[in-house]
Amino acid sequence: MSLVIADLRKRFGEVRALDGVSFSIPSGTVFGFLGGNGAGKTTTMRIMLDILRADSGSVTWNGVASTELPRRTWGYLPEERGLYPRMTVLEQLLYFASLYRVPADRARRDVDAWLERFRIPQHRDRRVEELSKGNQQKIQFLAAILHDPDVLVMDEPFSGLDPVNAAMLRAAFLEMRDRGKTLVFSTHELATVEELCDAVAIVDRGRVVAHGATREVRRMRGRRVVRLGVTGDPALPWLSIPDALVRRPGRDATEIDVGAAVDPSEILGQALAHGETVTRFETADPTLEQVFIDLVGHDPAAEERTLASLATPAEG
Amino acid sequence: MRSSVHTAFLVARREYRVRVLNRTFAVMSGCAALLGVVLVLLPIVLMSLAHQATTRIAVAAPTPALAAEAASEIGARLSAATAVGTPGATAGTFVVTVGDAASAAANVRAGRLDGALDLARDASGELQFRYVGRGDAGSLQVALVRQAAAGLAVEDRLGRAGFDPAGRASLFAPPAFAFATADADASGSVEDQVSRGLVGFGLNIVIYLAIITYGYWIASSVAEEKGSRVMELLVSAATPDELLVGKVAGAGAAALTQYAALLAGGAVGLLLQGRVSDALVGPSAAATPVASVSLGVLLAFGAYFALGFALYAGLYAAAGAMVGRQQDASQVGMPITMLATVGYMASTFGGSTPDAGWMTALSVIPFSSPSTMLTRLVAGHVTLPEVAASLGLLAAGVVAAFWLAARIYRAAVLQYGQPASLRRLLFAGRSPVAVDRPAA
Repeated sequence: MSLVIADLRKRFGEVRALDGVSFSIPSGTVFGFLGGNGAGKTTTMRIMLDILRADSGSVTWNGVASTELPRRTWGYLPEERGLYPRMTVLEQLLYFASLYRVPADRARRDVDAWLERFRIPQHRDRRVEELSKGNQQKIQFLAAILHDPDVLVMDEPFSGLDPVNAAMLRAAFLEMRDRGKTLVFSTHELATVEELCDAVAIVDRGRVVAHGATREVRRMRGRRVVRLGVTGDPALPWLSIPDALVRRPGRDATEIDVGAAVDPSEILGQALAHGETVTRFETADPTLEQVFIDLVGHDPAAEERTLASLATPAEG
Repeated sequence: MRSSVHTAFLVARREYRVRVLNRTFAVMSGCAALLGVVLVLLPIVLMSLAHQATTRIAVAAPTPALAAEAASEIGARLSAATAVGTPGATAGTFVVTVGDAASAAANVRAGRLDGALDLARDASGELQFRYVGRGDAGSLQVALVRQAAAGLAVEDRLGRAGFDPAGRASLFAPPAFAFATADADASGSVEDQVSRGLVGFGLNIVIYLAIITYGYWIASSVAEEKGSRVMELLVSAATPDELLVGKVAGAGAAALTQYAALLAGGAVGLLLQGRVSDALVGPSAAATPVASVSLGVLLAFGAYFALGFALYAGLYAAAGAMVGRQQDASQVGMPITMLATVGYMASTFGGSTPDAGWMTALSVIPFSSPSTMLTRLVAGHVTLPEVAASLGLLAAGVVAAFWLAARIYRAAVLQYGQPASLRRLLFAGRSPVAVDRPAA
């Protein structure tokens, strides 16, 4: 039981949007799909949903090609928020539910339940254009899930949400996962990915550069992070261990990126030897953000040029 | 297939509701209904206004008896023209005798009189006539006064030659005269031809306005959906083809609803036509334009309306998909509007020559046939095979237009950023956007 993306390739004119994208997502998991702007995330998602056709490659869900799957298998929350501004919340949600063949009475019941859960039942009969951006986003999320899809694909679901609404959405994700649903989403909020995702894939320029369980991806470079808090200079000018690099000096603790061969206790020994009072010492896996920057942190100017050339369909 | 039809129906139903439940739509439909009443009753009102006019003529002559005789003759001629419904004749005639011809002429120039006739005798005793009137020498009024003058001159000569009044009257009694047409293709009286022309013009306007008004609706609506990005949600729930067909059907149904209001108004006008005509013009009023509409013409109108609307609506939808902003929809739809205008203008200018070769050709070309064939059909110059061929080609044109529109729609509907060229969209390759997923 899994979603398998195999060797997807897609060009838009001269631009190669996807260049052999492959990964798999076990069912009943939350999956983070990461990448810089223009890396190919949105294009991959659209191909997964079969609203865009790949030049080659395949997408299968439980062994069935996506081209053969019923539309209601999928729920989709696009990156660009869009609803009918002059329709009421209820009318709008019932309309989208009807396109997925959800009986009207069931849809109406579910709309009421979700609006209660998202603390916006008072907006049920208001026009969408009268709602705040965050509330519109919640409505769009409901439009994507009212038909109870097996796989929910979301492009930047947290962008524009305040912390309270983001927490509400995270709780909804986990509840859906617990009901056996598979959730795939892209985001630039890597802390959220670490909190929610069982597995991730990182794409860069149309290629998958990392894929696997979130913990494995964090460890894939074979390096670790040492966090050291001292009362002296947080830049640790006395540190002289090869392959131990000060990454982020901080008042509370300084992050040191260390290679697999480095024994963290050596760093502690050097600190004490230089008369530092140690207030904090811990070792951890690198954050996903660190791994992401290491893997896709290429020249920003070159990225801008790529974005300009991708002004047409391949936005993700 | 069945589920696709259902999805298209759901899309159409939303489109229809959004359109019809709009306040502007209700106001416009009310105006359309009123327009229907006005359009049907307007010819009667105009006729009544013409009939209510009175011609006022002053006659001056060397003797009061001659002036009275001339006034009587002119009055009789003008009244006779009114009685037989001569085009241009007025309902009332008011002829008076005056002593001063110069003063009467001044009154004509001042607009207080319609004409002033001055009679005089030359040295040989012959009557001479000088008429000051409005308009040109060929107007009905001048012609009637001229006839009256000729009659007066002959009677005067006969009187001076010694004929008694009774003998003169029998001499000028009109002979019995009957007329029968030998032309098998005669399309009726002048009134009938004018009436047919009006009907053809009216039906053409109905189709043309529906195409450009509601076609723009469709283009604008597609552009709005694309611009608001709701399209991304839609294409994950329905195929582009279902969306295209649903949108065209929904907007078409809304258009028909508004036209139903227009026709309902027209029907009310028809019901009132007899009474209004009797009240304003009198029972002798000529046949109204609507009398020229036969069941066949109505059926043909329905077919050309539906197919013509579908043809253009598909193209407008594709045009709307090519732009990302609602305000750009009219600009991108301009070539399609011009195409529809060509057909409309051709039928307007070709209405007087429905058998011309170019009209025949345009009446089988799908883009112009809804207008031009209807014009020819109303004129009664078309055979059934011609109509069948025209409708067949138009139906094929609708299929081709939807195929083309679907191709553009699929390629353009998720395309943002710089607008893509038509060429790029048409040759974007095999189904850039998926079209054949199962629905549920």
